[in-house]
Amino acid sequence: MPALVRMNGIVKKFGDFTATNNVDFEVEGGEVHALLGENGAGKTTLMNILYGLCIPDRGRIEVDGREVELNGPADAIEAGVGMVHQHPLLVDRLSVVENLFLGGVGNGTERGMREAIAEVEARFPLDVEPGALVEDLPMSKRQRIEIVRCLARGVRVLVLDEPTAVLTVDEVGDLFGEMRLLVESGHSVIFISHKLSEVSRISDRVSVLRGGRMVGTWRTGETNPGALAEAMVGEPVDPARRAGGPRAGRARLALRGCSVVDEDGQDVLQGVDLDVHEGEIVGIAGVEGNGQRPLAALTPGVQPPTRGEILLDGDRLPPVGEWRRRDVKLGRIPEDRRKEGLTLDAALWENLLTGPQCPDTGRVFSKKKMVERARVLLEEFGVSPPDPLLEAGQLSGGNQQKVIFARELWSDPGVVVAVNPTRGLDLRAQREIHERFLALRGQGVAVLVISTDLDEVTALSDRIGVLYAGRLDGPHPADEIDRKEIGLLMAGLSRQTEFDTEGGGLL
Amino acid sequence: MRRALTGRGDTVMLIVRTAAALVGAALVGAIFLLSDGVDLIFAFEEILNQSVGSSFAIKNSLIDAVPITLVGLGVAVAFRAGIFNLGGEGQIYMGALAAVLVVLNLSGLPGPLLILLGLAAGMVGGGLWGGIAGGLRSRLGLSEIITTIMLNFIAFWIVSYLVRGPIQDPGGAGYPYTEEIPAKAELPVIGGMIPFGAILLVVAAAVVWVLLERTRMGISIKSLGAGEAAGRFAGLKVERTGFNVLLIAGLLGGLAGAASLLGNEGRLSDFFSPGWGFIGVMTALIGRGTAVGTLVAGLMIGFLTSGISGAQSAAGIPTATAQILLGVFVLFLIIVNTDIVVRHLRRAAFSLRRAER
Amino acid sequence: MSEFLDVLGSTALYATAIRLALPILFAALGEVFAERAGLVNVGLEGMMLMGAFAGVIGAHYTGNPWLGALIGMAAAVVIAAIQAGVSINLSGDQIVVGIALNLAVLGVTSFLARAIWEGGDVPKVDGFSAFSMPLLSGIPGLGPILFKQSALIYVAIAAAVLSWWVLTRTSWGLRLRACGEDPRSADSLGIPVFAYRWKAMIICGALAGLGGVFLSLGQLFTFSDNMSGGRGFIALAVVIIARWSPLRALGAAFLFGAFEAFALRVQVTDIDVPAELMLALPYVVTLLVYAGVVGRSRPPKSLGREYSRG
Repeated sequence: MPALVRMNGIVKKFGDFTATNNVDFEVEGGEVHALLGENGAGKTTLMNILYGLCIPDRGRIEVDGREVELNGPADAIEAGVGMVHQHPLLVDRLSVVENLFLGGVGNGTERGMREAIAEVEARFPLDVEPGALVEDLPMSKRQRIEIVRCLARGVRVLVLDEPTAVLTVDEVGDLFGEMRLLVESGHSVIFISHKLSEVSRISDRVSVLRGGRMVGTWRTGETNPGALAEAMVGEPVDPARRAGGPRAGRARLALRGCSVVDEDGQDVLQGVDLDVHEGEIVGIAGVEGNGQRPLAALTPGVQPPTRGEILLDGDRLPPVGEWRRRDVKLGRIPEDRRKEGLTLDAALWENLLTGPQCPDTGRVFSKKKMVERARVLLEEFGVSPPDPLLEAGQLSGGNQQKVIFARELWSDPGVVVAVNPTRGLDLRAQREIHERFLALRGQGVAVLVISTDLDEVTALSDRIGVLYAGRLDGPHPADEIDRKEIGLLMAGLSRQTEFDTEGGGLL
Repeated sequence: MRRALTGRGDTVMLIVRTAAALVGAALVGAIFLLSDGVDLIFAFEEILNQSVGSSFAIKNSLIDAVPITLVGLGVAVAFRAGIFNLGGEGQIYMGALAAVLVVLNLSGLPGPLLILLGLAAGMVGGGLWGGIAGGLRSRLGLSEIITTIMLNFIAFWIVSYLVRGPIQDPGGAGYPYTEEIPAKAELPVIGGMIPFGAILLVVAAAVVWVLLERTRMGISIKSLGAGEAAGRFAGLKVERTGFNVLLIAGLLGGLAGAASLLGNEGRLSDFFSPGWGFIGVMTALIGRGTAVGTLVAGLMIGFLTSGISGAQSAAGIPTATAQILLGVFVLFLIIVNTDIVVRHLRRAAFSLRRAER
Repeated sequence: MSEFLDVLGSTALYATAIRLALPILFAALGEVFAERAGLVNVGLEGMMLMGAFAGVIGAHYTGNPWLGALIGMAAAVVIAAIQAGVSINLSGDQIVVGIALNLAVLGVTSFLARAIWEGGDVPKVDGFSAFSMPLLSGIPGLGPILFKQSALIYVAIAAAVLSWWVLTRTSWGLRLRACGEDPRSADSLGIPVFAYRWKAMIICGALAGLGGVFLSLGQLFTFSDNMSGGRGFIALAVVIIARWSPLRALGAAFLFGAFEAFALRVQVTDIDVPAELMLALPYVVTLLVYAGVVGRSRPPKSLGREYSRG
């Protein structure tokens, strides 16, 4: 079948970072085409370009044989491309009908909308109360509404961005059924995912992106999960050196059977057991959205687990508001340094004083003394420039991260938990941060690093665990698990997945 | 998310800005003065004279400045946390009420003790009023903007009722005010020029400064004002801090009421406060929420209003025109300080840059 | 005791209640539009005061209260435009702007009153006096309550119903609500969020101005300093109590008016209750109802939050 969508030579950079590097991508009519890759591989960027949310620096896009210029979702829809986001862009407090109406279904009149919907429902039933409020509906129904909305506006290619992340097992089955229906009526579906099992199940073809490059495209039936996993994670760019083996001592941080249920009733974390010992670095890998956030919120006591417990040196971890009083020494490097980590408008010395890890300053403190202490600390941690009076917002990302380290390590905590510590940082800053982690390890600190950057996890960790769908696999000693196995786990398959020896090979 | 005044703004700019507003008001005011047939030069001279020209003048100016600045300090503390205390009026009334009740009923005690108790009672009264708003905010999530204004009216009517009945001056020919406080309970004036209230003011300003700049609580307050996320992550007790700042604001407002009662007014009536509460809000805004800024702003406004009212009779300025002068000054003050909001242009630009990543 | 019941049973009480509730109702209706679009308008008080003042000026110089009302509304709209420009386009802090505008309007109106008239003694003007609707005002009970009012009451009821209809039954209203709930989604659906918020704020200014006009031209027939007396803030509470519904705002504003009317009427009777404490009653009631309602009412999701592209 001729290509319905053809993207050629797509290049997109954000500052220094190249999101897509000369990517070619084709989708045929009437197929389910999976787009596979880890975080940061470029899948979302590529599809945002196809949907007009993002303008590529170079490259051309053809839909149905015609070259198109997509300057916004309106253009994309007109060209026949629709997108359903993981968290559908619907207005929660309005009803289904109201949302459809706002979405431009029909020609602006109520009757036109009803007719358009009816037409779609003939082939693709919506099965939902029109007056129901979107916020009362489960995610699966919300996705359906978005799909119907796209179809009612005449799109032929539907991009689904990680739709199964928010669905239950049954709902996933239903979704796949819907996808088959769509394909049978001549539409095409681009299915963004990192889950190999699903990709194998539903797609006709699969393309793998890694680090912004298109690694290859295969017919699903002609390849096997192992090969796909390898394509997904590839070889590390810069294999780091770790000094010797771990000299792990006793367990300092322990999670026992921790489960978290979010406000929608979903199990975002299930039965996590985890020990972090003195003098070791435990890395948790995984694709974003598989439970990293709830796990990160657990450890600082910001969000207590729904079930299970967290122990610090054998005692239950109190909520973070009591840490100063109870002298809890746990340093945390948060995921979002701008929002959670620092007060950007405040001076560095003031930022260093925020947080439970700052040693006691008494009721009233002398600014001179504090500023001096701050300066010493900033110099020790290599913050540049080490001027305590600067506002935090004036530093570069790498330096901001160092300030956070300085603050959190000030009282020599025995345990440090970090989430995506080098996200958005350049290579040099990354290396400095990694070296600091290794130094901490050498000093006997128990370090837990949760990161969606697999290179980072493999570079640092003595033991590696993988989060998938809220469950933790491992942690396994780093020399007992290889990159491909990690890739399989990240994609939802077990390490022991058998190779299908009949498949393999590139198209 | 509300943004608090982050206290970025230096005193020099503050003085420059206020001076500019003054000049603007003077120019506009000159038009009116001329049409009143007032001798301009003489009028402006007299205003200056009446505000700083003699110890008497300075005393009066300070007396005018004390209540608005004390309230302003309280509002400033709340501003830094991103909380808006519009309840100055009510807190002043409750503070004055508490003070007058204590002083009139314990009149047997020696003077200095009476003063102490009176001021303390004032703080309690105002603190209670601020605390109610604080509690409603932290426990029930009620917006302090609405609650403090409601409490203003409630306080006013309580006082209004009391001065017409239970605590009315029996020898006062039926007027709605209380007895005068005994002379020994009056706040002294040092050297004929510095009212005790001014000393209270400076001390209060110093305390607020230390609180905001040199204590952990100050950092908590400022963190709250800068955005809750970082604060919560660091374990900041958001509700508790919110309550605390409203309590502090109430304390200062009550002190303002008590100090005015004991230092100047001498008795409580229901027109006790000519809008001090709201002028206090303005001084805090102009002062960008800093202790020093609020102090300077309050003093400048106090001196000007005192000068103008003093010059009224001396220079033959009709009352109405005097009001106009003040009104125009207020207007110009707001205009020269609009960068409080427009400053956010920089913030908006900042976020645009971030969005490109 | 029986005197209380007498008061409660008098039609005059309810007629007064409606009259007192009108300014708050208008302001609350305006605020409903603004808040449904996601904007918090603390400057409501200033808009009312400006409407009251400019309305008197207009009525004075044109001799016609309806023209005066229009002028009052226009002046309030100017204030609203400032609020809109600063908070929408410049991403200014909505609350600080509102407070500053209140202070500014207070100063300007006092100053202009004195500038135009000697000693600030604003003369009385022809306003919206109450009139009896033929026939209908004869209905026992309801007649004198509903049909012996000034013309503006009918405007108010019409405004409330119209507001409800526009917000819930038109596509324009739908899009406005989307802006207040989820401006990001609304934007991605092609709704021009800034434009809708502007329109909402202008409507708010016009309605608040009309409320102020009624304060001056419909009750006192003149202007006095700060005559809005905090009603703008009560309107803010009314909006929350009414859970952002224009029809419920009718009831909530009436509630406040009723308590105020009750307090006033009790003074005229022999009932020995201190007048001032009764006058505090409406504020206490507002606080209590606000406290009672706040857990259960859900504001538009993006209320008060800035929205900027990117």
